[in-house]
Amino acid sequence: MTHDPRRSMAPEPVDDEAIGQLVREAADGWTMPAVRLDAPSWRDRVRGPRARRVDAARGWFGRLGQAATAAVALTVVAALLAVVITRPPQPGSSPVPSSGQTSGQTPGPTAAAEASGLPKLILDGDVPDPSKIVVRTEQGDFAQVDLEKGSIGPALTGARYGSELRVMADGTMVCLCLSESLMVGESPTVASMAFNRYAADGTLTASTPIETFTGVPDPRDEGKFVPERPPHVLTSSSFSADGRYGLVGWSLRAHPMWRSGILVVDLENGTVVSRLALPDQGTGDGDARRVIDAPAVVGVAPLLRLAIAQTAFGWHPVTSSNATYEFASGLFAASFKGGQLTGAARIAGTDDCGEVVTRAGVSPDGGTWLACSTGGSYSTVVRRLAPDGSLLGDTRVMGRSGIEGDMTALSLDGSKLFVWNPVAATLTRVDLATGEAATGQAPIPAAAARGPLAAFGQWLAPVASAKSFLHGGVVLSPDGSSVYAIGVRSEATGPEAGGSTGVFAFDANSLANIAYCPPTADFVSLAVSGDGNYLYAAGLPGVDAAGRGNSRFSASITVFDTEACSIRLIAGLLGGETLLFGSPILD
Amino acid sequence: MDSQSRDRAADQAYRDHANDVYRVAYGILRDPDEALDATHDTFARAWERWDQYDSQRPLRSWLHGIVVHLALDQLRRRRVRRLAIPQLGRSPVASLEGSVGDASDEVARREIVDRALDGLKPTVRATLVLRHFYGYDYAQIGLMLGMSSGTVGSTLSRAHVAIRQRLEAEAGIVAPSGQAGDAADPSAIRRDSAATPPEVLR
Repeated sequence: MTHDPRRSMAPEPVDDEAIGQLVREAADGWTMPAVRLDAPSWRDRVRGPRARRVDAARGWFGRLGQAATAAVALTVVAALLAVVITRPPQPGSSPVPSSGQTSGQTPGPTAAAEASGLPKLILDGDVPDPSKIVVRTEQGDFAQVDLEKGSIGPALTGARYGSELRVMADGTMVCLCLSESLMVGESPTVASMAFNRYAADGTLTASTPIETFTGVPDPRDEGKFVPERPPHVLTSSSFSADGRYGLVGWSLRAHPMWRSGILVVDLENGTVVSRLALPDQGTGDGDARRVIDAPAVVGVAPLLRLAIAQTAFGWHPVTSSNATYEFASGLFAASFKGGQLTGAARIAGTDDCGEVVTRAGVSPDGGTWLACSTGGSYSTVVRRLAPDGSLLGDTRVMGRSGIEGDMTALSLDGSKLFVWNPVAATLTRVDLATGEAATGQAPIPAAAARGPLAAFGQWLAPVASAKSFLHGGVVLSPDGSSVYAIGVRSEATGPEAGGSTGVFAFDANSLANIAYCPPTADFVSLAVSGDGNYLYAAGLPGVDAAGRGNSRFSASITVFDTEACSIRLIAGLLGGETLLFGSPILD
Repeated sequence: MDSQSRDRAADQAYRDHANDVYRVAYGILRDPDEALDATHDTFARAWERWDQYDSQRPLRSWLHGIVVHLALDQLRRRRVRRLAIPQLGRSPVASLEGSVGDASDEVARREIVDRALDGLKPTVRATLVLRHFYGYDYAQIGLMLGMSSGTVGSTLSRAHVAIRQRLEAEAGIVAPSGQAGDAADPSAIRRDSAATPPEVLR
């Protein structure tokens, strides 16, 4: 017989005292887990920069493994960090945390002078084109921003993370829109994908259900407290390069297996034109558990096939808050012709490239290359495989731990990959045929700004940590001649970097730093206009340019003239949700 | 205070109060890993500012003041992480459909209260823990959270209403209209949640 825990609550009066007792009971169970001997403690954090970097690695793994850190991997990374990362202190940095506390007072937030917030709208010259753009919002939805008015519209779709929206040539929009329901352990068990079409003004004009995916909670965990609270069903979505098809990746638990695959959706009418199944994978043996992420198309593979990446993670023991985590990734190739996605085959030699395969493509010799990231910007590996699948070589580019996001951009001809280190402000170009790497370095300015709006770039201050990711942190100009990349301050007192050092422009051929755009806010996302004349930078809400908490700052978009990196426009009151650009090129 | 004395004092503080600091951090962050991170950050910050500690006042409340601010700052960063790692961004919406099956009463009870707390704002959760677990008065809590004593009182009051409604909805004894309802009906629960004081909800 199934026991219903809700009934045990029913007879009890729920007055204030009872609530207080319930809170006490709940909080009594919030006890600190054992600290591993190799984990950085508070003492490590007051020892110096190197210890802080180790700590940053720990913070990253903590986010990947929601409940506990990946103990084995952490040990390896901590050791690597201690050996590999050596970066001299930057001039002008302030290692001292912002203080302002007076003796005897309970410490409060930093008392350093706060910068005033950005204005609603400032324009220096003509309105940049495009002035009406679509952005992704923090809640996973989308919204239209009118830069001419400095305003943001309501949420467009009501959809959640996993949705994707594309603006068509006529200004209408199509969406692979995800909704989720029936939560178990804070994760949905049902994910429904729909094909929605919107008019240019955002009005919904058509909606077609695509598919509903249902995952089953692991029956072995009924009645157990599982700190990880794993997902039961996952989806991903993207569009084909020609804009004709939508690609919906899915995975769901059907214990004892995970099933997964990809649907191809015709964007004319929302019908599913083909279905590709990937091999089933187990849910984990004994007290180990595995989660298989939804597959995602990350590029192309030899013989006119698509490259499909799939990531998995596992942990054990299942009920431990200090579980050991393992990560795995792999790459498949499948034929894609006339909307028919068929014949998935695993590409050998791709399993141990890194934690996440972010990009893949075809080498000039007919082989395969793939880019894999580990720890966000911590490490990027470019792996080259011969046509017969043998390993030609790996090119590893080290970055900085603690900053999530894809730090790579592919040259227009697909022959080179740019890898950005946002803290060191170095841009590395990897030749995908030979694996050879060349690096350009930008000077990190202490404070610099030009033009009549220069004052908005002056908020450089000691920081509290703020930013931990970049989305579209490195983008190419539409003609491929320039690379723009967001820099991140490194002087955070906490375990993560925070604050923006601005946007650095590089010549894609010489890798020379050719321009510098000052930070008006803590930038997290970049896009370039279709004509290459304007660079759009989205700033975080709730923090100033230095990454210091400041409630006067709303989400913002700053537009720079690419020629001189001068500020053309600032829309500074775009609400409290973080905004991101969905596409690196705005038409 | 010389360096060695400060080290010894901070070590002792960690031994005495680490769990108390962790509890408040977890109440705000609801994530064991992040709470542990905030706990160590708190003692690191305390070590750096040890000369600002007034030894005439309880050490634990000083540490709680630090951890509250660090944890709330960490929450702001978490919002950003959700964008970077979609799994973390999924489903912050508290939901009641997921019964825990045949769990023991104790586990079930904790899960229910935990879910009720999940639906509250972090500052409200902090207020509840600081008040009900640690017994701080309104003025002390206000000092830690940067709000007036009156605001602390009204926050607690609204939090109690919110939790009561959640618990009653889980027990299936109160429907939104005030009539008996079926708690297994998700739509009924959503309607009930909508009646909760919005000031204290996420």
